[in-house]
Amino acid sequence: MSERNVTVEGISGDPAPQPRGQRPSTRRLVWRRLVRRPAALVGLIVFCFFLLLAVFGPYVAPYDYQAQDVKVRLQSPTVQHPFGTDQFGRDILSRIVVGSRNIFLLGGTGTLLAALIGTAIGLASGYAGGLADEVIMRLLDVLLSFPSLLLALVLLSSVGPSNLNLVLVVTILYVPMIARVVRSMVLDLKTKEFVEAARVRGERRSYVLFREILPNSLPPLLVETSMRFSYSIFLVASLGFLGLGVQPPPPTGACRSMKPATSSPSRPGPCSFRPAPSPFW
Amino acid sequence: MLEVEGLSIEYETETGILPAVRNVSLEVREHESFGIVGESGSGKSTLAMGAIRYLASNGRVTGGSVRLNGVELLDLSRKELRALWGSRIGVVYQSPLTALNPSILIGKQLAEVARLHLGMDRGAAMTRVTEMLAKVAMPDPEAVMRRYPHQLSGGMLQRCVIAMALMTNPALLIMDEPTTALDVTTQAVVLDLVAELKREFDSAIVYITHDLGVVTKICDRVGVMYAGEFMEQASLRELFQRPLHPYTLDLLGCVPHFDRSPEKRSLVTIPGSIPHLDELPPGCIFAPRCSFVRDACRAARPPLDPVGEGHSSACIRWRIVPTPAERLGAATEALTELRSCSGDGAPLVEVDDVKTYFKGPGEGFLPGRRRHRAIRAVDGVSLTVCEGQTLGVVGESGSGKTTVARAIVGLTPATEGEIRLHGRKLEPAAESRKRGVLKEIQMVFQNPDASLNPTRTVGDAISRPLVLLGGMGRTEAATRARELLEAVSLPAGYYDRLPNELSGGEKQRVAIARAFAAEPDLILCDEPISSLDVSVQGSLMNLLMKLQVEQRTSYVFISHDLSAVQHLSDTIAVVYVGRVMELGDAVTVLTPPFHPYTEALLSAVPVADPDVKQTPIRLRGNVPSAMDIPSGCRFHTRCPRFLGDICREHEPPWRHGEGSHRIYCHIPLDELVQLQAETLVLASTTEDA
Repeated sequence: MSERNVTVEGISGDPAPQPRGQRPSTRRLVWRRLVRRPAALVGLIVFCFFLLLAVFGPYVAPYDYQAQDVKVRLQSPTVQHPFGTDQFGRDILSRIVVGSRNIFLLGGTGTLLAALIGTAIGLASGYAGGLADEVIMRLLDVLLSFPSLLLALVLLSSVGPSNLNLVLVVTILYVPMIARVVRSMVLDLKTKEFVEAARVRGERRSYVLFREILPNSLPPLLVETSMRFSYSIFLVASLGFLGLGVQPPPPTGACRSMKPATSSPSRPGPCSFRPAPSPFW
Repeated sequence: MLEVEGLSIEYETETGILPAVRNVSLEVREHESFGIVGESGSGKSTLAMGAIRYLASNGRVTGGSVRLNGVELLDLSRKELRALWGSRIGVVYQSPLTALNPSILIGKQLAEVARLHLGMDRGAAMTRVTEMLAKVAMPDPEAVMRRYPHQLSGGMLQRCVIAMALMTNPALLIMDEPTTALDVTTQAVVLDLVAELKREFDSAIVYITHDLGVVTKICDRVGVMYAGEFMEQASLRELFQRPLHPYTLDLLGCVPHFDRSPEKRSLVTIPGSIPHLDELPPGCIFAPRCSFVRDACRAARPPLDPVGEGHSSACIRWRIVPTPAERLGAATEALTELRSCSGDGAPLVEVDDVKTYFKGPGEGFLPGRRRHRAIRAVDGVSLTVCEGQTLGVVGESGSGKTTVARAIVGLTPATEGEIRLHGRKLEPAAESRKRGVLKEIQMVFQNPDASLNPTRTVGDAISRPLVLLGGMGRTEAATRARELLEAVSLPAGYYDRLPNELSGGEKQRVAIARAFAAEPDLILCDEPISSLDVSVQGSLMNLLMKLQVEQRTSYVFISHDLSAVQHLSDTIAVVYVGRVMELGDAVTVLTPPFHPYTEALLSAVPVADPDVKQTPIRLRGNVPSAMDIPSGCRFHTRCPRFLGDICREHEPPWRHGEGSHRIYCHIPLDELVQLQAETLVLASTTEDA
């Protein structure tokens, strides 16, 4: 540790809280940090909003997501239909609200599974090192070399689209990415002195991996997982758009029947200003 | 010349405004060098950088004046300052590798300064760079200019940075710990160079360091900083002989002095720690830690007042401050019970011809045909650690001293040779050793920030070995852990703290407590104090000694710092490129005859005493790579006492001296004694003191 750095740290006063008085509880600490970073707070609020929407969606949706009303087909946003209607006259807002639940569930489960498996592989591979590491990582590289949407399409069209298969596809796609992140952390951490101290006192390998190394690789792992989660939403939505996502009647697949081609492009309707496969329909 | 008057600097932080430097004055003349000494957090770098207005964006100068050759720097505009930086003001930083751009050739990088600030064209600039590199004693400047920074060693790079800073013959040269990242032998070369350049160039030098030894080598005047203020300013000699501030006195006492007495004695320590800048005490800022404190000290902040010719001290009681000799005598007396514990000295661990080779980078393309050169990190080392004793291992970086320790503890298994504990052979790898064996050998690591798991509390860290190796229950372990915390002089309340709430010294104390938790017979200390402040080093050395007496533990103490090693060790091994060069009792190793390498190390150590005369023996070149060990005597490429072909072609014999003293050299011992009679005037210092 260079002496200069210490000086700077001591002066800026940020990284090393002085051990005086009582340590605030973790909950208070998290709260204080959130308040200090407004961007994080806003992000959390937006996320919670969508999460609540997903949970309580069917109860707050103004219309039934399947209810067709031919009289109001392809409407621009109105007071009755804030997001407009599709070509069957279904309320788009209601469809978004209800559809978000599936997306959260499928993408979330897939990402979570990927995080679990990826972490296990990353830990094992990184700690073992040598030939085993080399073989595992090259295998994962093979998976990574396919464009994810293409691989997903191939897998899903061969096993057939179902919710379970969707989840598994998300998992298979994201395991290599998460394993890489965890492995890089393990490679760094396993040479740290506190890990060596554990080896010197004869700790079991599992203890070293799960108690010494894993907790310290959590920060990047969490970042990677949340990134993956947001991408998984895109993925599931794109697959839905291509007809291999959630199967009808639930609405993630609905866009299939309202591809931009079927609605008149000259008509100012919701479809024309939508970005292609947006997460919630 | 530089005049700083009443300079104050603040940092704006999330928690409020921190007055990092307060009302500080100093004066440096041409050809003179002023040393700013202080512990980390004392504001030495802030002062120097603030004076030239090169502060971080949250720092600002709040008052005072800085004049460089009569020009007030604080009145200059940003543009004027930028023209000044680099042309009239040069800076040399601690890490030479980050000071240079890794993707630009050295020559081009240095020439840029000449072109920008001296208005030279490309050709003239290149000639100037060649001249400058020659001035900083760079061998073959032309070749160096065509290299990238990563192709040069640390010492060479630092010389390039110095050449760059001096290119324009600046009025002010700021050197911020320029030798801290270098090896002792390289440091000595760089320090010699700076001392010489000081005479040749007209610059006023401000030299920042935490090392009292380094100061003695090049500074004319020294200011001791503490928590943002000068405690004392005096000429070099006066400061060391007659310090008139208790802080200076204590700092001097923290540094181990070379002495030949086989008895161990403790160092002076400073209780407490440097105050945080937002809670400075109202009176004298050093009062809470001062051993001469009176009520008057706490009432008002004493100014830095003159107490003699060119000597000023910020202490109202400077008249009663004792001399260092008196102080040292008192400390030694008070702690005589801490004397040597060299007991029966039965061998505890024997390292027998241990070799640790690594696979080097491969050559050749086809998988089956690739040849790997061996990296011979440890190349046949034999050592014995006796019960209750300390074996000191010294050597430059790359000498393999850490690898030896890691072989003993089993982290880097030895590829050949045998390690015995209590006469029984140890498995090479820690993973295959039994718990009973693991319990006996523990390790304290170099980097306190990485030795503790940041996600586990201090209590967890200490109780884990108690549960695992001591077979204790959880509650019992918790109680014992608190006891151990107290044994390493930390409050038991630290039990629930996380490592990031601790200072470096405190973390290292926890690491020591963790090592002692299993009640091992041997603790390997791998540079445990080298990254810490002087005063913290002193108290940790005292702690290690105290625990050794109480627990009768043996240590292997690895360090590049010869003065720390001699202070703690009963026996010393000097290693060079994977091989022991000299081995023996601490006393015999530090008296002639020396191995020429030991001799060079001793003459390179910066001793914190300006009266010590060290024969300047400087090693040429760098430590050879462990992949490419020189033939014959591996030291022959750099040996100042090189004999000729015999050194190049034949491995030297072990020459046995007094007791267990052995030297690995072609020169007979009596000849070495004659040659080296003049080398070490170190010994006489202690007699004088």
